[in-house]
Amino acid sequence: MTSMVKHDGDSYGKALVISSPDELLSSLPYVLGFTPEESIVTVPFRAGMPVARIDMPKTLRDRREAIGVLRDAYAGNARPRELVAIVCLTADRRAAERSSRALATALAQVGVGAPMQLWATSDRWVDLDSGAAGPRTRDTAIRVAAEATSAGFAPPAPSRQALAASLVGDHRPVSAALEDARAEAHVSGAEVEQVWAAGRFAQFEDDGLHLPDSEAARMLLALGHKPIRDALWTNMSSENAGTHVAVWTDLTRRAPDQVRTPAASMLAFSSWLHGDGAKAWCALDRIPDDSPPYALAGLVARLLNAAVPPQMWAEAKSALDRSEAFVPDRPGRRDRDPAPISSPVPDRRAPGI
Amino acid sequence: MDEQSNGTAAFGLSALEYRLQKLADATATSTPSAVRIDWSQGVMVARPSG
Repeated sequence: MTSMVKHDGDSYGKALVISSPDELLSSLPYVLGFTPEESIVTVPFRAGMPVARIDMPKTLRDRREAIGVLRDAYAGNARPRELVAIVCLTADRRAAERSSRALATALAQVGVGAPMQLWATSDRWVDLDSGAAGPRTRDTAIRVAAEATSAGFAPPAPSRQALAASLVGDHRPVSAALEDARAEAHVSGAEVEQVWAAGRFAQFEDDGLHLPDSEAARMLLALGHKPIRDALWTNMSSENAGTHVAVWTDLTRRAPDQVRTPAASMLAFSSWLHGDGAKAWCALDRIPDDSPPYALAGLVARLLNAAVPPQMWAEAKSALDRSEAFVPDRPGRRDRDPAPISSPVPDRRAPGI
Repeated sequence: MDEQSNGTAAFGLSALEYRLQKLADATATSTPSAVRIDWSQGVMVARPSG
């Protein structure tokens, strides 16, 4: 059932090939990264388009807004005669019918067809067009799980709430190491810290081992300095985004509030680049409410809202590479940015966050 | 906003942030919304019948 699909020259090649509504429903947690509940999911019929999930709207106003956002996103990204399946996961069949019908109509306005509309509960599915129905079977779930794992999908979180909770950890050990790390960074200087951060990230790429608390504190402080952050960011690509997701997930979990924003923003960006929009949103939610506006976070939120395909980043960044021999700014030479390494640099607030 | 020779951009955005902003500007939807869409690039493909 599984296969690797290489589409349109990018590296987002994980795919599950499905042949029944039951298989489709069992595949959703692996594709989304969590088990969806009370959700509307659109599933494209071809590789190259993303799967999208939104919360099941509770009111007419919510439904209109949610459907409008999905329609606009598809209008900007879909090819002519794109086809999607609409899956409504809810205990409320009438809500599923209303939402499915309204979404199909809206998508048709932008040239996207919806030849399959499913309503599903935890144990049953119904094709809202044909009336065909069937059970969701344990055998199918087990088979899809094995094949999804074989295809490279990570085990899904049991719910979206659980996915968000997975980014919350114990910050106390890193908090305890923060002051010493701050003092040492003040002595060593930003240029030394930039070289250290690059080398430490390379080490993580090699061994995948979590940073000890003292090094986690040092990395979080270094990341608060934009030139150091950008030196790590500029080397991020679709090929190594998974490594970035791993290291920034760990540091976001362990970071105390005052140094979490840059790590959470890097996690949000790398998750988007890795094709995992839900995790990107969860990362943005880990930015403390009272933290100064942070441009990278606001910009990632805009990309997520607009459903910008992550494949577009390589082209956008290459334009920068072409426009100049881009070398991330060296910390010691930033006359216009005299902030010490121990002080995060505030940004203007970007829309969307 | 012009990029500068040292890889930074004016108004406090770094060159990378500036590129990201240009990408967002070029692709943003017209209406900001509180609705969150979880996009995933992991894909499902229908098996050909027969």
